[in-house]
Amino acid sequence: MMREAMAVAWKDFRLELRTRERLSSMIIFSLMVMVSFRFAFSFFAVHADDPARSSALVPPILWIAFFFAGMLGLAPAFSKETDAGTLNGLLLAPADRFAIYLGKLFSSLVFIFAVSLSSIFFFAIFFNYDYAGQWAGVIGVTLLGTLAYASIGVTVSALSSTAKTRDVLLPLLLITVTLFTVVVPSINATSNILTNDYDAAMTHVRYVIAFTLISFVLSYFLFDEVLED
Amino acid sequence: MLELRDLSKKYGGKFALKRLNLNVPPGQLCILLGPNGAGKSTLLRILCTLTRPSGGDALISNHSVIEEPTDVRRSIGAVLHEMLLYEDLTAAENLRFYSRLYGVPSEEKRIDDMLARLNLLHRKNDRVGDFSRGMKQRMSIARALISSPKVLLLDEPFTGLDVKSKDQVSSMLTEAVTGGATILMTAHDPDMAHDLGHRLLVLVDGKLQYDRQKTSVSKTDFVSEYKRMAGAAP
Repeated sequence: MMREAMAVAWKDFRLELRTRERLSSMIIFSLMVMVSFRFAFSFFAVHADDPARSSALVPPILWIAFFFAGMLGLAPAFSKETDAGTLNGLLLAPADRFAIYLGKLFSSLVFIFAVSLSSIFFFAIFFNYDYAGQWAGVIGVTLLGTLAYASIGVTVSALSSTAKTRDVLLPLLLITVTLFTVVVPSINATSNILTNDYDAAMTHVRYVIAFTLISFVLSYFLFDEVLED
Repeated sequence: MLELRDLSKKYGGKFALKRLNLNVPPGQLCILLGPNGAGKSTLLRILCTLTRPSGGDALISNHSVIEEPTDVRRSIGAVLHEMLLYEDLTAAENLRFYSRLYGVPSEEKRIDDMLARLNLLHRKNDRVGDFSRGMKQRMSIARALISSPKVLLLDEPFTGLDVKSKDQVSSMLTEAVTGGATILMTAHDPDMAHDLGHRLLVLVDGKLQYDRQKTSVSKTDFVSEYKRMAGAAP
């Protein structure tokens, strides 16, 4: 199963290297989010002296960038295969359909996490913020959160890829499924880390881990049906 | 081998395929003809495990398309209406990807061999998106043959090919059959079907109306009979 999953991921990386379609749109979007918030903060004089010093503001801004940039990365995971007529090539492979899920999960996770990392650095630059020295903790929670987000996002992307209303369906399903299971707990965990409240952070981290495991199990059993004609 | 057992497919309340029965032994090249909408592509999609039948079953290399779809997929190579190729990857990268999916041993040697036989070796490192229609069709056939499948399911594989390419593909299919492969191929041209096939099948309105060995019917009789059947289709 891992051989087929790696083949799918290798193909996605190769295509991205050649076209740079997904990463460029994701990075530009994340950059625009940071620029917009920076101007908004300046214009309304929010924390004018040190705008991002408040640990309450940092995580939501970051996760707005992660969430929507991630959506830009997840949407083409299957819609491009459907549009190009290559999805059947994957479905004809003599492998468990879960291998396709794992391959797509791996490539999507790499793209989303890479853009999330760049968002973290954009934020640091635009807001002159050093994450209270908690870079490792913030990046760790981001990795876990993006894994949870991608784990269900790949299934949702496959589910919506053949729908006529997929442009509406994908964001709607992702918001519904991940807002209170991934995004809010990840925001809370990041806030707790920035205020050195690790016990509280672990509570939210455990919640995200539990959701990720549930998402894997659901995808394992449902992915075949999701891809069914 | 390939076997259909009362195979049916319904879309809504309408039958696309009605209780088909067929047995194709190894080493036989069957050509399935029929007018548009007869159910040829639906049958191929069921055999490829891309669509589930509504009734009955189909066995490929003794594996059920319903119960053992992964084993079925391991046995088949398919050319469908879609090319199943990534336009932004090169010819070699496309075949490398499918070789890895199928676990093809000595993949680089096999890729070069397939490209050489389909006269595409000189375009090995070019993007498939830059290929002509005929070259893409040849790439699609190379993709289907890369895993040396026991059963080939081909949906109008000669579409877009020039005379030379048709001859190359025909000789590859004949070679595969000689090596023991089973081929089920759809076509629209009864002349070509009689020239190439061992067995001729005609599907009309979801029913198998004609099933004869080529040796038992002359080309002229077959062509006129096919035209009569296809013309009588609703």
